[in-house]
Amino acid sequence: MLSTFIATLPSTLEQGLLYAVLALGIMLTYTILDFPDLTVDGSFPLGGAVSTTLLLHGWHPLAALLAATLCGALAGLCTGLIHVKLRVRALFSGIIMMTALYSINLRITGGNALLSIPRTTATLFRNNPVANLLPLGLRVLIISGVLVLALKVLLDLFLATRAGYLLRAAGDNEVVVTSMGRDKGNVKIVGLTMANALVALSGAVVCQEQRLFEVSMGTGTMVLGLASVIIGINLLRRVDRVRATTAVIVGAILYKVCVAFAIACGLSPMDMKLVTAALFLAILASGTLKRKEKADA
Amino acid sequence: MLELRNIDKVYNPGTVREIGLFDDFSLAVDKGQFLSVVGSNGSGKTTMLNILCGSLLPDRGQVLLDGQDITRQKEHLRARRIARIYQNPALGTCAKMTIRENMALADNKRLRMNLRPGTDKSRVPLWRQMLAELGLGLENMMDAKAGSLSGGQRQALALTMSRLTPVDYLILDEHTAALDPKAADIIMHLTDRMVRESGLTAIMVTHNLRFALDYGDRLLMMHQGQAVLDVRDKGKQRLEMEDLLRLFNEISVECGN
Repeated sequence: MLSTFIATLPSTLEQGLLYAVLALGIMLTYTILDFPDLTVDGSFPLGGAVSTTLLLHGWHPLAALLAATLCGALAGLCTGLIHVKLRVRALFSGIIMMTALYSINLRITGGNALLSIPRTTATLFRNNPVANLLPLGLRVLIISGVLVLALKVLLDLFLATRAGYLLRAAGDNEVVVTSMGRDKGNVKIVGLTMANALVALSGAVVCQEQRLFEVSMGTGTMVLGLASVIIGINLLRRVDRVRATTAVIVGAILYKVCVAFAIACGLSPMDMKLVTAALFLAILASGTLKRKEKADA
Repeated sequence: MLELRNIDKVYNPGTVREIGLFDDFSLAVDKGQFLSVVGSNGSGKTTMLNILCGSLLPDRGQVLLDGQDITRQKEHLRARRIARIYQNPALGTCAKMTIRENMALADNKRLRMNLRPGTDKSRVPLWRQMLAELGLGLENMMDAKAGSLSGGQRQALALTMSRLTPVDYLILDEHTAALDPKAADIIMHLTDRMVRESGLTAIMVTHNLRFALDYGDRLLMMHQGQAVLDVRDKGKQRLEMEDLLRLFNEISVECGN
């Protein structure tokens, strides 16, 4: 059991890094903007659908990623507009977009619920000049690691700008945003746009790595990403000088480690969503129990 | 000049809970004036502030700022010229951001919210100096989260933040009510100094009759949507606590308080 777990550790780490991009996006809405955004269940596969379809049409892998990111941004923009301009509740705005995106994703793939990318097609991880230079076993690890690191640094830089401060303020205390003479609705729209761009990018990268798009791959994205965010932030809360972005990346990797461990223990991939749900519940419940202990003490 | 002209406001119109609050209410606050407003609960003090700041729309009438009609202007646009300090000290600052970041945010109000650094390091000495003037030691804890501060400290920080922003008008919404007496005294003193030094036009709603009497150059007592007392300058100086209390008790008894 332990040996299978250790044997799969490198691929677990790869998976963790690939999903860390998703977790960064969810961190932006949930932790920073304080917005429970279910759009991600639709924008994650949206990224996959756009990127996979474009690759099959002979697009360059990077161009396909960029297009997927822009489509994700557009989805986030719609959720933001629905929430802010039409005053629909946060949760419902996300559900509406998530539902709409399911059909839109099928439209993008031309009605195919399943798309696979041939071995010969150039993706971010194979058949391109950079990937060819890297040792075969380490390609995914290195490329996804570089991508995650670059996005983390960019996000950290953004959060330290004037616009970044305003975004953090919007999730912290909307009244302050109004006091600063800014429309809090617009700030939220910008945050949702950025977050869903990241989520769609993550979906695109995941599809390029597994060379497969599947229309229902988005189910549970929100819970999975949120679990990563909460694991990371809760575990590293006491460690000084660790940025939220770092904590979230660590959380995404740890989440995949937990899942790999569950599989090594004999659970089938069929049980994965159940494991995700149980893990998420355990994290939330442990937080509540800890608070209770504190209150009782 | 900040002006309310012929304001009508009815709550829950057309229902059994209909409450007519303002009927043709007008008020003009001159430039540089420091107005204190007292009154019983439900007298319309907070409604008046909400109409001024744009969080509530009047049924009829106009709000004018330096002669410009801002009745329908959005709240955040008015906030560029009017600062507001709330009763709840948590509303004026961002709890999860540090004191330095909160000051930076306020200092950025006059700038474009673009991708330049959020904190302009060359401004930090000025912020520290402004915080040092409070005498609360905040200048030595710039990296502390605002949420870890006491109510009085947070209110002082919120006041200092509004001092950094380019506003001419200051609205104080029972801003000492949630503080202990000592903190309330400190905040009131700071407020007065800030209004005088920056030449702001201020409207302070308070439940503290002593503050209303001691600070400001005009006093308004409100009751059921009307000003029952409006004294200024010399007239206000002559006003004694006993007179104020007697009048306040009269209107309170009338309300059954």
